[in-house]
Amino acid sequence: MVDRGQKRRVDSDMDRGQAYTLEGVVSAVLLLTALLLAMNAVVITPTTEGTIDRDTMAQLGTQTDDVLAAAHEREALQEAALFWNVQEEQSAWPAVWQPGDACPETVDANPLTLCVLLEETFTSRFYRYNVYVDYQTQEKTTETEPLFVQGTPGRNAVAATRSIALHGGMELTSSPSGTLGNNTSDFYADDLSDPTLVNVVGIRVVVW
Amino acid sequence: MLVGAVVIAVSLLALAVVLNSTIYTQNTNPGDTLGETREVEKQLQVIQTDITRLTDRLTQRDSYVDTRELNATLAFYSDRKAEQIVNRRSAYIDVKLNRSASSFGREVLRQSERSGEIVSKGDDRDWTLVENTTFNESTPFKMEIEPQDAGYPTSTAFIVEGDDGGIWRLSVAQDPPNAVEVNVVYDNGTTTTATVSGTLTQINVTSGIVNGTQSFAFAPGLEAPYDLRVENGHRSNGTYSIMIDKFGDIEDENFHTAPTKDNPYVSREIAAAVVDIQYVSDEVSAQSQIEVVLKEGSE
Repeated sequence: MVDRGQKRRVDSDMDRGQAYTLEGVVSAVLLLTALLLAMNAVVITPTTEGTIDRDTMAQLGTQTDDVLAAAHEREALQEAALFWNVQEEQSAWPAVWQPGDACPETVDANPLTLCVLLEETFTSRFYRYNVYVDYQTQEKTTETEPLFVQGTPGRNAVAATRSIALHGGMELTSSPSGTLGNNTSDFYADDLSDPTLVNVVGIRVVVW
Repeated sequence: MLVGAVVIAVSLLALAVVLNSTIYTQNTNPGDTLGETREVEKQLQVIQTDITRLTDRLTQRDSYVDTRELNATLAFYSDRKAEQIVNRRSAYIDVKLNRSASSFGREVLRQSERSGEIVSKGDDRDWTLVENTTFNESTPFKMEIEPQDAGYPTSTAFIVEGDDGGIWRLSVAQDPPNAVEVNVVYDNGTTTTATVSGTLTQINVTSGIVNGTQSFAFAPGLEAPYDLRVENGHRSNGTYSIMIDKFGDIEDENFHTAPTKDNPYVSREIAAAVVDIQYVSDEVSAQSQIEVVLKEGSE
């Protein structure tokens, strides 16, 4: 009787041990699955710094570059670089101009094309932008002239640049008009020492 | 069994860490090579537009493109582009005229420095610009001149002698206080005088235009080909350009031929400019070539 009772107890302990082990394995698998999901979620969600995600920034950067490419093809970069008031020696893009307003007009009474492109692409989607011109000096340094500034770019700002060569025969696009060659002393960019070229400037658009 | 479960758990954790590291790297790496390739495409597009505009400008100003001037402008442009690019990324760009692949037209005699006197390479004041050539609308002689002296016989004169010995003479002198007198003496002895205000005067000799106004006739009655001489060239400063046909004789001792900045010089008109572009960075090395046709049907 004693032997039979002891055997039954041993069998019961073994069954219980197997059940505990099985339970442990299942728990481990569950925990690991949860861990895996959590770790993957860290990669997929926006960056841990709290900024907008990299894909959105990359898309915004590509769109900014595409706007400059389109502007380059339509000679709008040249038009913007020459949108300069030589009498007041400042950008003809009014400082009081606000996004959503009608774009400033060139000497031909047409809206400034770069402004139109930027408005259509960014302002309509609640993005803000600044436009700068980087030019070279006779001392071979680079200076910047702001054409239009809306504010200080945020930490998620993206920028794109495209360069254009300016020569003396190009016409200023803001009144009083005239060739660049006849107005180099009142123009923002230095007239570098070449009989044909005035300067090679870069139009830089910052969007945020 | 428990040991087995722990081993499996650790293995799975390690796998998860490795997988996440890979995903993180893919997400954070901006793809440098792809970015550089896009930059190359962008630069090529920009350079093509710039070169087309520059050659358009030269053609508009002079009605032709002078090889030496285009070469100098491209070198200058290339340096500016290289400086601009190196400010943004570690890359180098070079833009230069490929002389062997380009095609050329007529010869050009030029002085491009406005403050220079109208003298020969050897500073001769009385000298021959060209011999045995024919001037017409397609081979113009233009100048922008500022005389430093008043009146004959010391004023600067351009003398054309026809094949038949006929003489046509144009002299440029100051007409104080603030005017210039352009005097033309024809072969038959008659004269024409045009007086214009200012000191710097634009004269299209072959078209007879002074500061945009038709003022005289060029060498009427003279038999081509002509010889063209200068007298008292040291009495005027200015620039000039003379297109000549392939039969013209030019004395090498009167003009610089090397592609330097020295004046006066002899060069060639470009009919089709082939420009080599090289872009080199850590990630990409690319070469391209663009061609700008400036004169249709050229040799």
